[in-house]
Amino acid sequence: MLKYKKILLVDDDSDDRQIFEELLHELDPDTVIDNAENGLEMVAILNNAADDDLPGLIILDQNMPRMTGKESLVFLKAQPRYKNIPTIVYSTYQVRDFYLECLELGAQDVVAKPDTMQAYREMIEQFLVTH
Amino acid sequence: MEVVDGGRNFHGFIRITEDDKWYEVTIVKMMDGFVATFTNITERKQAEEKLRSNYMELVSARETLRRLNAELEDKVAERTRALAVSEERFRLVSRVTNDALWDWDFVNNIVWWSDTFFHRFCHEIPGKPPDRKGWLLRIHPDDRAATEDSIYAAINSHQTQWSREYRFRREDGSYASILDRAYILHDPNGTPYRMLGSMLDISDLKKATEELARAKQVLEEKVAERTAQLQQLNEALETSNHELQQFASIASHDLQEPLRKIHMFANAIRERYDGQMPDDVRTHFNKIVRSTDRMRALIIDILNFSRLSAEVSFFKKTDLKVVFAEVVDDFELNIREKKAELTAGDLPEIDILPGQFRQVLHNLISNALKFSKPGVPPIIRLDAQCIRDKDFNSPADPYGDYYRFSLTDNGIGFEEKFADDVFKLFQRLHSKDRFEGTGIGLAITKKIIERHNGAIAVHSKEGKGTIFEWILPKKH
Repeated sequence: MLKYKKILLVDDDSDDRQIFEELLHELDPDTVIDNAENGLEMVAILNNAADDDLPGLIILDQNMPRMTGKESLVFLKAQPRYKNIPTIVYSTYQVRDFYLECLELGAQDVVAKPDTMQAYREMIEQFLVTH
Repeated sequence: MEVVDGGRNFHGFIRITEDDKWYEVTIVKMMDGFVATFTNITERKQAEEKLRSNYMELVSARETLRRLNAELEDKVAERTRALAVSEERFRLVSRVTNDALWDWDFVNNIVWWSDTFFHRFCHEIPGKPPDRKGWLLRIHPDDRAATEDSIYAAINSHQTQWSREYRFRREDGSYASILDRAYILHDPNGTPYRMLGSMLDISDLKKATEELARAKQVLEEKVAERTAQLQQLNEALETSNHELQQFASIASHDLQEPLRKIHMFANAIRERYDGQMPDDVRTHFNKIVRSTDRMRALIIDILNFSRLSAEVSFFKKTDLKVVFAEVVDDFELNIREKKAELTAGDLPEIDILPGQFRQVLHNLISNALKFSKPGVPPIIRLDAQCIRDKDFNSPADPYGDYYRFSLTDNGIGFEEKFADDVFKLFQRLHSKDRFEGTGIGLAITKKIIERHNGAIAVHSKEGKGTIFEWILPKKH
């Protein structure tokens, strides 16, 4: 059912990172999750990773200091090394224009951050299954 | 016969017509006859005749002379009168006019000045009217030489006209602005012998012109200043408006984040410990969740409201029947619950911002359903009518440029005096415990209608129901 060995979660909100990790490991304790607090950290982590150790999926929060989700997305899609890694943007920022823009920039999906545990669980399942 | 019979003598004149001669005839009786003497007096007669005719001529000549004299006298009287009138007129004119008139006799170098001259510029010294030199000395030193040069140049170059502006000293030492205009008269040989002129005091005119120019300048400065102020204000307003939108947008995001967490964690606890929770704790938890829900609805609405002004969207010809059907679909559950009856008359196709207009219908129908009377199935009807003017009282006109819409319900209504308040941001007529809502929906509705160049109004009666009326242009 799960197809990613490793997921990179880029989110400055530690609560969200914690919930994400807990719920992900409820579903599959074996998936490795890397965390970055913003886009710059993400770039550093990715650049230091060996080719065979790159994440299979990148989740980007939009609202982050120093380098936002959208900026991170632009960076990723411009790099041959990273542009084929499926990237999902999740955000409380529920604006249609933003949604369309991210899809245009090459995001796999753009979703709203859930507001219940159940919705959170379902969102992660969706990430892991359909993408 | 008388001589013969009466014995008297005869003395008379006989004219012989054949030769036009006169004879004096004297006949004296003698004894037995008479003696007649004929004296030729033709010459005497002729002289007499001539004398008489001469005398007649003399008489008639004298008569003619007398008549001519009388006529002449009449004429003189008439001319004198005319002259008097003309003089009077001149005197009046020279008194009425502000021009100081002058008459310069070159031959004797004497200048005559009108009363105005003395009245306005210098007191008259009897017997000593100012001459040209006196006149020149009264001209402002800065203008004097140029004026003098100019007047003599005009005379010497046989000009017939001269005019000059200069400053002329008044008796009190102040200077008047003068426009002096004159005619130069020439004799048959072309020699200038006289100059007639008028000094027009243009001080007031000049002052008025200067004041006007100054006023104009002040006005222009003020306009420029106000324009700059307005521009600044406008820029400030734009900045502040933009900042406000950004603030609303960012604030609502940042507010949403912690709220989402509260909601989520509260829910997580409730899910996990639901069975073990005492009733009052569960109630408190429910209150937390409901409050966060309400807060979120508020934030989202504020976000939508602030976004409306910034959003760029395009007008599109849209079939309102379709929009109405879609909105009714949204409320399917609600309608079924309340057994509501939603109908619409014939709805047109008009130019709208589809997403936004959908929200208008959504908000209004949502309100109509929300504020229904308890236990009474809501009856809601939407109608549209083509009208001539953008006026709620406009007559119907199938070829008009506007549509008037009305959404009627049989809900709880409200007092008409609140009609304007309902469109205000955060304005609520009912407590939030009885009816949920943020108080933003109708403000958004109004804003959207106005973005469509339309207008919206509401009529209501407490306990009877509410009618929302709005007007939209057919085309954009």
